[in-house]
Amino acid sequence: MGAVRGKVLGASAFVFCLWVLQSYREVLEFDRQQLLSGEIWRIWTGHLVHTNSSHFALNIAAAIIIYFTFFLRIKSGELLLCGFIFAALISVALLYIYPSLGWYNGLSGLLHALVAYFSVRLASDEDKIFWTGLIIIWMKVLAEAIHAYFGYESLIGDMPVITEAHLMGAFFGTVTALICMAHCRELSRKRQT
Amino acid sequence: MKIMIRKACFFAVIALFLTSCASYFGQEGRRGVSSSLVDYLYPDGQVPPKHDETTPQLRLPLTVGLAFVPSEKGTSFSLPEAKKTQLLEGVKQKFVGLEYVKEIIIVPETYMRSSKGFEGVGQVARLYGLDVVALVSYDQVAVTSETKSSVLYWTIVGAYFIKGNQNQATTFVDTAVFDVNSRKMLFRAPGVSDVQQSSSLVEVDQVNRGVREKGFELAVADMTNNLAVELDRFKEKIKEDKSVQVTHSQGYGGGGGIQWPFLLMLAGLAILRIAKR
Repeated sequence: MGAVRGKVLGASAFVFCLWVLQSYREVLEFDRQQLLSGEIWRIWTGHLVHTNSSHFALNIAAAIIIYFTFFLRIKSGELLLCGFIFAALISVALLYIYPSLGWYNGLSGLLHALVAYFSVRLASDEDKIFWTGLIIIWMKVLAEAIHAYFGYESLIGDMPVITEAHLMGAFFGTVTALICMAHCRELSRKRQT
Repeated sequence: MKIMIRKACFFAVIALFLTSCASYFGQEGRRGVSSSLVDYLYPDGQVPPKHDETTPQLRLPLTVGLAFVPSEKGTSFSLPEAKKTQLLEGVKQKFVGLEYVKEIIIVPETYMRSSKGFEGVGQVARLYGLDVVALVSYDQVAVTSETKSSVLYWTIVGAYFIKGNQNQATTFVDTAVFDVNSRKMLFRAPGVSDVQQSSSLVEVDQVNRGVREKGFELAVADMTNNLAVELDRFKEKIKEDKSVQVTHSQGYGGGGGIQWPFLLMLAGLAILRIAKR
């Protein structure tokens, strides 16, 4: 019970910190020109700021549901480490694979990566129901990619949704989880032999 | 008899002078200035082409050109170029912060006047690198009429101090937004104003000019508000009927966002998971 209370407090503190950061969007978001001119922190902080309050509210609501439903058993340190790595991977991918993308912000790309990663990990460890999470994530990003391919734009209010970040997130999350899974199996096989 | 003739001559001279006086100051009348979008885009009696099925493609963010449609004849009654630029600057400020608008460029009327039709618009668009052009056409009628108190203009003092003239300007402006490549109109928005002001006889020209300028200012302000409303409607419309294809060009941006359907799906999964426990 105490552990759950600690997680609730930790999550509340995290949401509060994110809310404070929203005032500094200009200096924190992923901005190609600023990033290439040396403002490296934007690789990570771009995922923490949002375009407007509805954008922020939707992403935070999704993050809270995902965390308390599926990832409550995961250690906070591991979650933060994964967040750190996936944020960098997604930003670098956006920087080099999508050269016409000028700016980006929002938590959702990172959420896609975390859901994909932990779905594979938890499904291979214990509960096969987590494969459902992975299937849903991939169905969603593929639907978004097809939608974008035909020239249609996804919007939250006036803000275009960068579905490429979702695709990158799901890709990196899945691939990293599969590599880790293969590596762990290799290690356990070596130990057995 | 001589006295009678002298008196008649005296009154004749007085009447002549008074009439001259009134003729000299008199400004009563109806004048107007207008520019026609259809005449500009289809000059020399050209017939607009038949409807084609081409879907306009907008590459965001857009570079938008904003210009007045040149009037048929340049008269002293039309607004000066500086005033037109000032009016368009006000429109520009309203829309300049939009995320999907890269830049709004005010195109001088002299550039628009050099050639007509969509070919002319295309030339200007290539010159400025425009994706979309917003053309502002207008029609203004100004009327100056004398009121009952203008009878006091028969005295010189009256002409200076009695406000016996009514100056009225009725203005209509209309902005039509075109996609340069497909030559299709995306949406339009009108603006109207009706300004009245009385003046003394000697102030007629000055007040009339002021009323006409005020008329344009108010009509353009009305049109700007309507344009914002029409822009919102247009955004909703193209989402539904897909009549315009929207793509991204260099430098686009946005946010990574979870949308309502996915959030509801997540909430459903959460409920299932809790129920399973």
